[in-house]
Amino acid sequence: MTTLVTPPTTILGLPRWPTVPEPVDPSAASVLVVALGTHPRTAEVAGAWVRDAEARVPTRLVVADGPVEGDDPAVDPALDAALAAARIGVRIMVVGPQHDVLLTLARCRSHGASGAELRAFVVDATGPTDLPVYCAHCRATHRMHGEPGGTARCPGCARTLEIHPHHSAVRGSFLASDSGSDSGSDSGADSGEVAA
Amino acid sequence: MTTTPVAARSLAARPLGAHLHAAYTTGPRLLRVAAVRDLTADVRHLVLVDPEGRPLAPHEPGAHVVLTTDPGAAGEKRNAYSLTGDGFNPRSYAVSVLRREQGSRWVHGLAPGDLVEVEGPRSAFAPRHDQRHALLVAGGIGITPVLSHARAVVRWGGTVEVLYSYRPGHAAHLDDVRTLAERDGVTLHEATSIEATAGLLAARLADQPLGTHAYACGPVAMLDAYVAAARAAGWPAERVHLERFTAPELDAGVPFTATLASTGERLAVPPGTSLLQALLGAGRAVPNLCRQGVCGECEVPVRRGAVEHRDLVLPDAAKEAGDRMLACVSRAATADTDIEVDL
Repeated sequence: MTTLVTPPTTILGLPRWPTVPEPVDPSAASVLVVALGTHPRTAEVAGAWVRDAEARVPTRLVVADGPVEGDDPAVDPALDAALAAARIGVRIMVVGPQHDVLLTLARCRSHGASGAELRAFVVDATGPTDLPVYCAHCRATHRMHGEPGGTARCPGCARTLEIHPHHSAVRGSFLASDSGSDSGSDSGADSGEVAA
Repeated sequence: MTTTPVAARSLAARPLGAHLHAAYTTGPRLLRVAAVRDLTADVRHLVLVDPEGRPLAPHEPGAHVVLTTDPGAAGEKRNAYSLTGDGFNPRSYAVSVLRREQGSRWVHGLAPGDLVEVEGPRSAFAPRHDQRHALLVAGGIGITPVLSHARAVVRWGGTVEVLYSYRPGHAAHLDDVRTLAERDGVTLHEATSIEATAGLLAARLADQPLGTHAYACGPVAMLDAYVAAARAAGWPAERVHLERFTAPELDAGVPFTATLASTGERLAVPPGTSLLQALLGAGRAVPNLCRQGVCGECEVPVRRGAVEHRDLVLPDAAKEAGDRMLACVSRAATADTDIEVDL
């Protein structure tokens, strides 16, 4: 008999998205708004942030509506330039779909920004959506459709992956590994199960 | 000057730790004064070495050692002094001591060859390991830990800005920081008046790249100006670090009682008497050092009772949790209440 152990549900290690866009931090000395993708809600939220912020402090808007991909998000070089020019005191507010927002937040961190300086709102917070997923087997980050706890087919190595509820703020990606559900001979044997 | 009482006390009982190599020793032991040098009219630089030439424990930048001053005398005290080196595999410890009260006057009386009881190094002002760039702010003798930080940044190849505020003619280590500033990646800004310091603080805090952490050490007024300027420039509190060597004056406080959880004994703590004094008077050996809420040595666990925290050590979250207090300065929040301490 095979005993399935369900891992305890945890929110540790998962991004927590606000249900409504957070207000502009009143202690900010400047604001950088990053609008990602073409979703109408993105433009709406970014516009509201910009109007709120520029009434008080120097505000910069970067719009990147091209694709954001893999370990090296091909973002608009304007974002890198804006991050390099940003001074401590800035609050970086990112809005867009989860995939792009997560990779962009990681990019902000790679420039030295910390949690207290980052705000984010995603337009696809619930249900399966495109996510940046790090495949433990081909060791690369790919765009995959799914949700933490679910499965997805790796476009790199074609394995069926389980997307673990384990997100890296530094990499921007979820960890995924072989779900063991393929009918191949090795996956079941590794876990001690009898292959069907 | 040879300090016989200390020598007898320390050498008799040197504890054997888990690590036998000399460079792991941080408990009280005797070090020998290798050199003394006057940096200004009232700041003396001391170099301490192991009497047998062994290596000393490495330390984080910004760490301090505790010197026993006036050993064996009625005025015996333990004073903390910041180390000025970068802390990497040191063969000597160097401190720069401003002559103030009796303890530092005793240190100024030391000569090469003298033995001093030293404990530490201990780290209470360490750099954050994820810093991309450092902004270091020093006021007066607060240059000592700042110099240690700057030297460590130089050793590990980072970038650093030093803002040094001093009175002309009283600037210890000015030559050292100016020499450091000749290197790539090191910038020095000097200020010799309160107005110039405030202007520099505002200007430099407004122009730091993402990932910068700021560190300051100096007199209370300068640290207050630094914290206010950082807040005005939108700095998140987690990036703003400081070390105080003096604390603001505190009022005598309200009378309260303290119950010892182990015995049920109840101690009265009148205004002007600290919980620490009451505990020591009752024979409880509570470790303590600065007695002004700066060093964190006398932290005691609290089981019950609302505490008015008056220290500069505990993070806000710990103060709100209310499960510990610094016995030297913190008291009951309201008069005649009882605090149960877990001792």
